[in-house]
Amino acid sequence: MTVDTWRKAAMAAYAVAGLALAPAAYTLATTAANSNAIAAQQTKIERADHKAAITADDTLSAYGAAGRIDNVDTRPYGPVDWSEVAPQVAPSVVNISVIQQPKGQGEHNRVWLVPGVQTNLATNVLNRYRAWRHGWTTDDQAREWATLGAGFISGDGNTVLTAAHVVNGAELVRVKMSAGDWRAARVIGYDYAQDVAVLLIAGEPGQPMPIAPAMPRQGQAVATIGAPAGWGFSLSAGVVSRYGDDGGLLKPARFMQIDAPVTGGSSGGVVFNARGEAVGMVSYGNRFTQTVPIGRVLAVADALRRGRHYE
Amino acid sequence: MTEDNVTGDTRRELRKYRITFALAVAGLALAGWMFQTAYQQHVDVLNIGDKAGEQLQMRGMTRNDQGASHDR
Repeated sequence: MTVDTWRKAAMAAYAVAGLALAPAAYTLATTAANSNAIAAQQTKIERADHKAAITADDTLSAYGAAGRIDNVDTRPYGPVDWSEVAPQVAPSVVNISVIQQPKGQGEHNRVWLVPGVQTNLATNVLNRYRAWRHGWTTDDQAREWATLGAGFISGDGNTVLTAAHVVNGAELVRVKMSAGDWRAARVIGYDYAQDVAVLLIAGEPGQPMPIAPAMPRQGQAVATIGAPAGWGFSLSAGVVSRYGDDGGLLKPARFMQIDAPVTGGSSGGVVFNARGEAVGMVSYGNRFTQTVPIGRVLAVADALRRGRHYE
Repeated sequence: MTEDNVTGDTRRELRKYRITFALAVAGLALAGWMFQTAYQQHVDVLNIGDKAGEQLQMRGMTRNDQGASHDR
């Protein structure tokens, strides 16, 4: 090779390297900064969870666990026959199916909710590359309805209450009424921190769920109807295990814990007492389940309908 | 062209361009490595960040944890 050839090759390589290094450094700096922002928020979450656990421990007592600081039911209580109660409750119960939002180019990823995480040209290019590499366009076209939870009819008969996480990330929502017909539904409000969402269903009003005037005592029988693993209108029964504060997953708050078997798909299902009155809504848990007391469910739903934030 | 019959100036020129070329190739390799690392890091950010975002959302630690009148 001649000197002139080497000169041209060197200059070309120098220019290409210069053009590549600048965006590469910009891209790497962006992803490193985003990674650091997430790590900082994870630390914040851990601290919040630790604080919530200490608070829950400090406030715990057998007296409180029994619900004696709550408005507990003092009405006479006898043996329960769920086969008598279930038919009263069933017309107010719905299953909830959703079509998830498209993956698109990752714009619905919740990473963008994390404070400090930035979007710029570099993240847009990386998102596009990732979506192309994994064939998300094809995946998005293959989306189907999936039953992810349950809910119950409230108020005017066209309102359905469910757990917020059931409809989190949903593009379309529909409910299956107890008679077997599907109804289109619209999310009119949700509060993820309280795990309550309000849906409005089309068509004739359904039968609203009666609301208990007081919460069941510790040890009293309760049941729930949901769609565990997608198996709709399935009833499971147990007792109130305890009342207590918990902040391990949601915003720290007081929950009613029950031991009725539930699993994914039971979420949002109404928890009712032996009289067929709503006392709570299934939120989360494993062998034991945290349910949102019905008073808070209704208060959050009311705030959402008014466009306010429940505190 | 062999280097046996080049002058001292030309040899210096050749050396300079070869070093420049080698450094540029190394720079390109570095840029490639940076893009690859950035992509891997971005995938991790999306996976871990999605969970972190959900955790923040469910604990009410984001400004977008609550909303009303949302058409879904």
